[in-house]
Amino acid sequence: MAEPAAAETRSRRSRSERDRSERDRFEVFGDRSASRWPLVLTAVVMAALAAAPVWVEATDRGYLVTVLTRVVIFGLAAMSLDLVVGYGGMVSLGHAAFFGAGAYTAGALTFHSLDGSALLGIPGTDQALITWPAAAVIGGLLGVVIGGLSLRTRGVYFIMATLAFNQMVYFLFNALEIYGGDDGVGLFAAGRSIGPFDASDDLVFFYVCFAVLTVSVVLLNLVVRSPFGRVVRGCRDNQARMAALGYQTYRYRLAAFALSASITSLAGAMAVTESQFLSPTYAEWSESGELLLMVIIGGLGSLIGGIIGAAALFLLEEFSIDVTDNWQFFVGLGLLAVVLGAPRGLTGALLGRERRNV
Amino acid sequence: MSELSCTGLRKAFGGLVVTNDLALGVSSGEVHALIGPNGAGKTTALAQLSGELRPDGGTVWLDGADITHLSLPLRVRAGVARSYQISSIFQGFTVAENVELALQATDRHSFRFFRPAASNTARVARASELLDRVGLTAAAGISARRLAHGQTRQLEIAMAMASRPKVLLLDEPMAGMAPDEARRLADLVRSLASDTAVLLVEHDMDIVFSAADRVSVLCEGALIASGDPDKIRADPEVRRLYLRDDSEAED
Repeated sequence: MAEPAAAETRSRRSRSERDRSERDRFEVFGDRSASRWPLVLTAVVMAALAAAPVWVEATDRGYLVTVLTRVVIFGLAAMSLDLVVGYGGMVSLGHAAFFGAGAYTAGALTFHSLDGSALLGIPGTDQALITWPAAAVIGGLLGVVIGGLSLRTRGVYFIMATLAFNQMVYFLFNALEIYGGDDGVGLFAAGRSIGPFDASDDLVFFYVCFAVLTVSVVLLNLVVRSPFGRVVRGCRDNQARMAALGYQTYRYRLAAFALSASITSLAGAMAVTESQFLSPTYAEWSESGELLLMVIIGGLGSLIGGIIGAAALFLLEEFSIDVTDNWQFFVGLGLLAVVLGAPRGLTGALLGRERRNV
Repeated sequence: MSELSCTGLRKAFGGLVVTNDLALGVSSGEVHALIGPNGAGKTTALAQLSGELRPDGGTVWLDGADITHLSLPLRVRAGVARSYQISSIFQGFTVAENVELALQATDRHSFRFFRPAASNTARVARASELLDRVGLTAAAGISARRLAHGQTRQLEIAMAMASRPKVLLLDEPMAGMAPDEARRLADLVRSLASDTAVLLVEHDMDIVFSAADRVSVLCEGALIASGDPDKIRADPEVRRLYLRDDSEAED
């Protein structure tokens, strides 16, 4: 009696061992969909960002809170650019157009509320619960227009098309004399009201922005794992094959582009509320390059990389500007180190190349 | 009974006529092989049937309807799927995800933004069914870039089958395979014909004569012979064409 039972136990164990070794083999082979490390890194970075203002206040460097707020805002824009570049394979050099569109939507509404005048028949407001969603909507619509035309081109022509649209939007804002033309206009008299709250305090405002970022991080991580996200990634890897599978690739790419434009525009609105200054510099094409820089330094196709890249860039600026005015030189060195030594950016360097965020 | 056919198909690249007044048909339940020497225009003909290339003239029919002007994705939805001569799979996806992506193309779930794609159990189950059919079950979880060459061909076929096509266009599915591997794939292609019409572009004559119900021979864009394998094997012009081709290949 004991013999067969032992044999059965043995065989069961050997089967489970076999299963495990099978699984291990697949892990060695890099079954990326199973990797949880990118999400762990995302949680760690977000936790560190949440704790950072407390830490800088505790160490008497409260002036850094506004830098952290800018990390959050530009990190949000860079993360949404990653959806297009890293997941969609569409290298946009025109995202500053959307950032600027968001800035001008929120800024113009605020300007008219201070001025007491109407904007196209609509009274102005400095209420962020209105200006921010308005910016997201305008940015999304602009994304449909710019993306709709640019996506008819491929490769380097797509980059040039987005850049051309960026310049058009930039010079349009430059021509808006009512908002100070190329000088811009200060909106310092406006409060930072968010619903019933007054977020004039920099620390409060940081956490408002951080909340928006957190929601966006969760939503975008869901999107890249969704059926839609798979199609977008498939179009990046092999668009012709996607068509041969029956996908009308254009509409999926356009939807991803518009979603990204909308979030970038939201970030632009947040930037104006933060700085309380509206100017065309938000829409300058070098801003597009800077967002791209953040995504590449942080790691393409990871989402959290955009935030890491924004933090790296702003902190490098903050700390090296005391040493030298030519801090951009070190940014260049850092970028070279990343593209030569860590093709998947800081995220890839931290997690290993195989562990991509889907 | 469904049928894909073309009549009077013409395509020229500059002065080079690659498809010359081609009439061809394939019906469900049969494997129809399209053979011909290199440069005969087999792949170009296939591309016009699948919708990747617009013909200069002529008509493509599916079940009696004119689909000449239907784009590639819409033709897939209408029931014409294809595989590629050079394996064209998604390297960044796992094997199972490749098939799921192919399934998703026709199940109209692709504008779902927030639910994880992996949570659609019906689709996952159907993907593993297809992988089982082509013999790739053991490799389902691995990254597609780790597949051996022969396995990528099997995956190609699973993906092409995902849309439940009425007509399957296979472009040299056995290219570069070891002989016994190729034979197994030929058996698989044979078994597919129970659900769908198969048009097979192939180079390997042994495979063609064992797997096909009907063989058509293309030369310089025009059809020179068509019929059952035995008839084609005995056709003097085909013999001459292939003998010449062989002697050239040996030079």
